[in-house]
Order: sequence, then structure tokens, then C-alpha cells
Amino acid sequence: MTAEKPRGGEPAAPRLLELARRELLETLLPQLQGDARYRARLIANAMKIAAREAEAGATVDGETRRLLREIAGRGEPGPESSSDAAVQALLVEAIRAGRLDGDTALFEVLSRQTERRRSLAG
Amino acid sequence: MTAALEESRLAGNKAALETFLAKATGAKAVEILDASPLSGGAIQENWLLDLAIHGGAFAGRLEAVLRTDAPSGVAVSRSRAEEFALLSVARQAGITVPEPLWLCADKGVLGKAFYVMRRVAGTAAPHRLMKDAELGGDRDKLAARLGEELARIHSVTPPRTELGFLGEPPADAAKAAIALYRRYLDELGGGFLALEWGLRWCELHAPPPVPPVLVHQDFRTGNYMVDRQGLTAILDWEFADWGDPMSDLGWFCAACWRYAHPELEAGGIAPRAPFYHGYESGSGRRVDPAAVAFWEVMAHIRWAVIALQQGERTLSGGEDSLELALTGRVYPPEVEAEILRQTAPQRWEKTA
Repeated sequence: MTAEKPRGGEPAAPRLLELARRELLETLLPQLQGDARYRARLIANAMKIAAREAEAGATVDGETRRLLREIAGRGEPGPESSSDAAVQALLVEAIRAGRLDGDTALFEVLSRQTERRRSLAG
Repeated sequence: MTAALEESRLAGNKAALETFLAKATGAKAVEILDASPLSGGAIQENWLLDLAIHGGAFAGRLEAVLRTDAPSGVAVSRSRAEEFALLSVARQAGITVPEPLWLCADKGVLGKAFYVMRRVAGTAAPHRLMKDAELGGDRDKLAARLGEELARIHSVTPPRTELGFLGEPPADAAKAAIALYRRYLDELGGGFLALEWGLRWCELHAPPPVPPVLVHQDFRTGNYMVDRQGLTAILDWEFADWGDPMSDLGWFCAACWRYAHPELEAGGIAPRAPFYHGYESGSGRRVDPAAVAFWEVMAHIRWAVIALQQGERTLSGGEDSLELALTGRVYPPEVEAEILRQTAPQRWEKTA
């Protein structure tokens, strides 16, 4: 999932964002007051999230995607060819229709996905 | 006039505003001595006004707050005129709210509707309440008082002519909310599986419908003001509606509104007991812990949906607000984790 390793000497998005964020927090923030300080913290937070995402790739990892596909395809001829959006739509429909009530496998994938999104945004 | 007022967005409308206020107060003249914006509120804009009123029933100095729509305001909440009506009903019902003074629906004065209320002392900022244990006075007493205030809000029942804009109360508030959130998730593009999971759990565990009452729908730490002695005002009436009284208790106790004190389950300020006790003694109603637990799951789903809608404003909505973008990105995963915690497979024994 990680982006291709950049060539030597050319810092990529995560490093650029990390340095920009440090500059903002260590150099600019001490000179700011009131609402401007709050705004600067928002910017630093956005940079942190963007850097993590650039480092880790998409918010849904491959394994989660595979597991969701598996659950969506239970009892049906596998939806291997369908798009992620189609898999999600199938799952939404199944959840609403009560076909996945209390389903342990789904619960585990959802917990895993939520943890991943949390670690990216937290 | 101060530099702040001179440079403010109100400056160009100062004369028109003074004329309106003079008429509203029956004064010979009203002078705006100072006006400064209050920060916070992505939907509303609030101004502190210092007024000198010459003549009429309000003669003298008056410290007030002017509330109007923010430039980027969206039509998801009640209008200012409706909020003014809600405040007036709340005040008649004996709820501790800022005194609503004058409503101006004429857009010729400020370019948008607004109303003025009497300023209340204190702060509503959650981080200050969390940090300073002295603020708000004794915390168990504050929680009990908030329970009593909530009971008073729930003493307002339909029909009320002044609140006609609220429409017909839902026959089943829980089922109506579940359907509404599903529709919102569809409108956001769908695929929010953890929220869908939570909504399905809610559908199976919804309490039976109860007679509707006025619900505040944003009754939480951050939306009431306190000073050193205790409560000074219940704020932010823009989401009020007819609904299930237990929904307000669930919202108040939801983990997402406990801030730095998750162990203090009543809004991060006290244990549940004094809050429930205040509510029960004020309302004569029993708190049903199962119903509150249900509404706490619903509270998290509602907050996640609102946060996503705010984030969406920066996408399809085309609004360039970093604050809204971060709201949509940071809160939903946190809240979903809490929803999953409260709806784990072992909690799916069907009770419905």
C-alpha cells in the first residue's frame, strides 16, 4: 500500500508534511495568539492526518477489503468482479434486512476498519 | 465606537440597527457603544452588544447578545425566528435561558434575520469546565440542577400554537430517527457499515414509543453556561423538536460529550445518579436505564452523521472550511468505535 519509495534526495509527501508541520508548531505558533493559535493547531492537525494517509495509503486496507468481499459473497456466486462500492451496497442492504444481525465476522472486520481509520485520524 | 466595531461586519449596519433597537425598546434613541463577535458556532454568528438606551422601558445601559446566521449558514437547523419562539416558550416554562428581547425578521436591517437577548454571565467552554473543578459550583448539585432543567423542558408538550413550526410529533420518535439517519447516510453516498450496524442494533432494541414532549436535542456540556456558583443558562435551542424525553438524557450522558472525564458519565461533570435524581424529582418520571442506553447509541450515530454532513459541506458543498473538513474526518472513527463497543455481538439478544 505504501507509495513507491522516492529517489534519494527527494523528500516525499509524508516528510514534507512532517517538516511543514514542525515549522508551523515550533516557529510560527509561539508568535500567534487567540483565534490564530487555534487556526494554526487545526492546520497542524490536518497536516498530521494527511501525512499519515500519504504514508499508509488508503483508509481501507487490502485485507479488510477482502474480508468484506467474503462476507458480502456468502451464499452467492462470489462478487469478485464487483467494485468496492457494489460490495458496500450489498452489505448495507444485508445489514438493513437483518441478514447480518450480530454477525461476529462482520463485527470483527468493522472493528478492524474503524481502528485503522482511527489511527490515521487520531 | 471601538476599533473592533468600526472594522466589524456590523459597522455598515450600525445606524439601521440602532433605529431598529430604538423602535423595539420604545426609546428616544439607542446607541451601540461596543460590538464584538463571539467565536464558535459554524452555523450561527453571535455578537456581544453594549447598548446605551435613552428613554423607554429599558432606559439605561444594557448588555446584550445579538444572534444571527453565519455567512456560511446552512438550513439544517431552526431559523432565528423559530429559535426566538423556542426561547420564549422555554422562559415561560421556567427554564433557565437568556431572556429573549427582540426579534427582527426584517432583512432590511442586517441583511438577515436576527434577535437580541439579554447577556448572561459565565462560560460554556467544555475545556474550562474540565480543567477548573470550581467552575459551576458543586458538580453533583450542578448535575442535579441540569436534570431539573431538563425535566422542565420536557414539561412542554404538544400542541403549542407558538411552536407550530415544529410540525406533527412523530408517532414513534426512535423509529423515525433511525429512518432519518439511514436516509442521511444514503444521501452521503452510503457504505457507512459501522453506522449501519449500529442503526440495525437500534432498530432491534428501540424502546416502545412514549407520548412526545419538547426535546432540546443538543442538551450537553458545552451548551449550558455556568459561573462560580452554578448554572446560568441553557443555550443552543436550534435543534429542539417533539420527541422522546429519554433521548435528551442519552445525548447528555453519551461518551462523546464527556470530554476529558469519561468516568463522569453525566456530561463529564458528575456520576449519573445526581443527574437522574434531579430529573426524576423534577419530572415525576422514572428514568429507564435501558431506554437511555438505547438513546446513547443513537446519540453517537447522530453525532457521526452530523460530523459527516459537516465534512461533506467541504466536498459537494464546496465550502472551504478546514474546521468542517476536520470535523468530518476526525470524529466519525472515534464515535464509530464507541458505537461498536456498545453493540458488540453479545449485546444482540433480540428484545424487540
